[in-house]
Amino acid sequence: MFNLVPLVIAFPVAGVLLNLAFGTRIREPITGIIASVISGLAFAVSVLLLLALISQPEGAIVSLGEWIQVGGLSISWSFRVDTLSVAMMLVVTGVGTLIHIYSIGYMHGDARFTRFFVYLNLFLAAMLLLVSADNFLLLFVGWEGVGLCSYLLIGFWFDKPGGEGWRNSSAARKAFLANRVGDAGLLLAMFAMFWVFGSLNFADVLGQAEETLAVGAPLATLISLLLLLGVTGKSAQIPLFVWLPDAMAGPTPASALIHAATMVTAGVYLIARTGVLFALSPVAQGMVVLVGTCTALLAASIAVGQNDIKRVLAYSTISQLGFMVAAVGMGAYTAGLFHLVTHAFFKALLFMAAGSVIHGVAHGFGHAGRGEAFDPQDMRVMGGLRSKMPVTFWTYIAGALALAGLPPLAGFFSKDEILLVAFEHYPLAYVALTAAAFLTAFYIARQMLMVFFGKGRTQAAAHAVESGRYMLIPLIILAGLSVIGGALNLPGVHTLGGWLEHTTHEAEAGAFNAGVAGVSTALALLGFGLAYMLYGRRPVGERDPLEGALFNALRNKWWVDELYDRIVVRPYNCLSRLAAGFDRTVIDGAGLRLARLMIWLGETARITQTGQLNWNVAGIVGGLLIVLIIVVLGRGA
Amino acid sequence: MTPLHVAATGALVLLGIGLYGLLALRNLIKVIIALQIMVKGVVLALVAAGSISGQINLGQSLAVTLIVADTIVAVVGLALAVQVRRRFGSLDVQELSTLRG
Amino acid sequence: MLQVSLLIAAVFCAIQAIRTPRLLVAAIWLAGVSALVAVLLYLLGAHEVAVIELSVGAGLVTVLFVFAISLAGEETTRLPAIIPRPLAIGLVAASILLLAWMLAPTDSPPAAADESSFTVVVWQERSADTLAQIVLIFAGVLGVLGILAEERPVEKPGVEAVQPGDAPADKLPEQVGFEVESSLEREHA
Repeated sequence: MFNLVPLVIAFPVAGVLLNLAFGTRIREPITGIIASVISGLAFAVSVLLLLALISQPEGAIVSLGEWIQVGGLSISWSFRVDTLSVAMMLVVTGVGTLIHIYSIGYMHGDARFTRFFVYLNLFLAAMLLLVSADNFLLLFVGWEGVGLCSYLLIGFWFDKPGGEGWRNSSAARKAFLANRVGDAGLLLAMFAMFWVFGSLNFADVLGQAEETLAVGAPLATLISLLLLLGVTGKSAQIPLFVWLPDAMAGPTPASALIHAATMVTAGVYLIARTGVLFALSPVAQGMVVLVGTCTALLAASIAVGQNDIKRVLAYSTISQLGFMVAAVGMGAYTAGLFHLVTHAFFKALLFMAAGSVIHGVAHGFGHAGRGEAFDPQDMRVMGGLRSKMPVTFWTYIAGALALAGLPPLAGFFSKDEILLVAFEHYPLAYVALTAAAFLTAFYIARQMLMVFFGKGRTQAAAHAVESGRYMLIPLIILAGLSVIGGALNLPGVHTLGGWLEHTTHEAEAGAFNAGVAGVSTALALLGFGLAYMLYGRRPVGERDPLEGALFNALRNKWWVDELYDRIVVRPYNCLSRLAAGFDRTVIDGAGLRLARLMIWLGETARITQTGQLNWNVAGIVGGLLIVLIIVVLGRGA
Repeated sequence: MTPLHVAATGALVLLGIGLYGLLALRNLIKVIIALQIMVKGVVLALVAAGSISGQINLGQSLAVTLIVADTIVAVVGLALAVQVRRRFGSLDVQELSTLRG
Repeated sequence: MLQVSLLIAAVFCAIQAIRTPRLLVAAIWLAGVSALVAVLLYLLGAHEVAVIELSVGAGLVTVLFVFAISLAGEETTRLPAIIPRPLAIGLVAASILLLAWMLAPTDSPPAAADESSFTVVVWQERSADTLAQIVLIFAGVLGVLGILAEERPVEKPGVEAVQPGDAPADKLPEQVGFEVESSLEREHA
């Protein structure tokens, strides 16, 4: 049964090839259905693996053969089936399949419909390779593959008119470059691991770690911090989080799949996978907690000040990723992965519902006739969509309540587990994360009120229509999962904890703490109430009720982008210009000057080539003279 | 002044006149005439050399070869000159400067 | 003294052949040079060569010249030399003087004249030269035939593409050479 694991990757690869080869010849929805079926097959294989694991929880390693064999380095195509990797596979393929189906509706009529599904399948293949790899190099292949797909999908609409295409492709480049910084960290971590352990296999590295390195060993700290750099890139943590909000330039299903549910959680998976190394370095663990907590709070605060429906969700994602990273940093792998799973449900739901809203409003704009410049993602043009798009509204409510952490929805259990661990071990982090949870409730309530309640503030909102069934069915399924997802790891039962115990060896099944849960629930309700006071009672126009210096800072994202522009981008551009000048004047200049010298020599020598017979004879006579002189001189000597 | 000295001097003078003609003349047929004059000098020199070294018949045979070769050069050169005249309408070597660099 | 006066006459003829502006006259002066050289050769003891020189050099070649000049047409215009006259004279004088200086010690005594007869030398000892002459004559005949072949009208079908009218109007003088080349190629084809 475990030997099926290569199929999980082979199916999406087959989907890519199939749609590449025949995609241009078959009609629009067919390619999307092929891709969705492929994704569903991968999900079915994952379920089979799950069933196999239930009877044999220690899992297995499936090897397909050698890949690289150089000196002491031996890398094979081997896949690891254990509770952690299968849990990730289920999330990726399960949520992925729903998003594929949703995309059939969302991408309807797009000129590059087939290409979109090719990218989605390619992403699935890379992501599944990432989570099922049995060595760091194979993981890195998947890691880079998802980065590539992310780049391709962010810049998917690179040719939109009016400068928007340029903005989209800039966002794609920004994401790629920010990820590259993190990838460099992961690469260096791999070099260090090979140096210390002489292998890149999980079993070798993680198995030897405790014997080779003492707790607090500088090398353990170094490797862990380099891994953390990789995590900050992929999972959008401080200091590399700036790419994720811009990544919303891509189509909304891509945002849901890659930039909310799966790819960005790769960092959390990586820390959970290499938990042994982090456990050896309290310094690195502290750094992970610090990074995660700061990101959670900072991103939640920025989300309050955004008016773009997808940007709010993007900062919300960064914030929730901060929760997960903080959790795995504290060693609470179960809590972190639990939140990863529930977050995948409700954040994918929120993104896709937001996509449905955008779709509906854009449609309404088309009905209401053309007017001034119009952004269908701006929440200020919406309002009153509750009655226009009822299914979208109710599913959105489910996702929002789960995100805010109200019992008994999924987010309540997972978030409270993280808060509980923080409460017991890291009091400062607990305070910060609780504050972030409060802000979370506030911004999501603000968003709901601005989008769905009140009256339509524009003609477009007033004429918005509900989306089609391809888009609604996945929403309903995910809404159901968001409501009941908490059952995965109910306090006292700990299904997921017991499941992951086979792999992560932590299973810190904290007892349910009514105090912690009560405080966070109360704060969430307070956030809702506050949002209703500010946004619910009267229509929100151009001017935000919170207008002021602080809100301005939030709206401008604390000027982080501007700061990076000052300290990184501009100096780099300066350096590039200097280097370009050096290249032009010195390096190219040398070649150019040599070429000019040769041209001058040729032009000079050209004078002798008159083409006239008499001068040719003169040349011959001149040569004869030289020979004669040599002969005569030789005879005289 | 033996006849041999006379022949050697004559050879050199004829050679010089032909050479000057090659350098100074612009008419293609006259260039060929200058070439002929040079060759006469060389024939004279060959025979003189044979005479001096006592191998007059060797010198003669070489001279015969030279005369044959030279005659063919003249024939081909004249044919070329005729063709040049047809194509360029002139025998001036300056008109033939298409190989100018 | 006979030789000296013959030589002076030959040199005079040569100078006249170079100097005269008329081609036909120059060819006749050349015949004179040839005849006088033939007499000199005879006096030197080279009887066979003298005869050949007289018949070929003064006879055949002169006829050829006259024929060619009648084909090419007479041109009597005196063109100014391209190379500056002092330079030409200097080059000639320098090379002749150097050659003379190399020839100067020719006072070695004549060797014993026990030599094979002319025919033996030509046909037996220098038979390779004779063979080469025959080849040369054939080559010369073929060359003349090739050069003098009449320009045939172009008949190949693909030639429209390279009609002279198609050439760019702003052609540089340098490109004339290529045009000649391509027309030669057309001829070959």
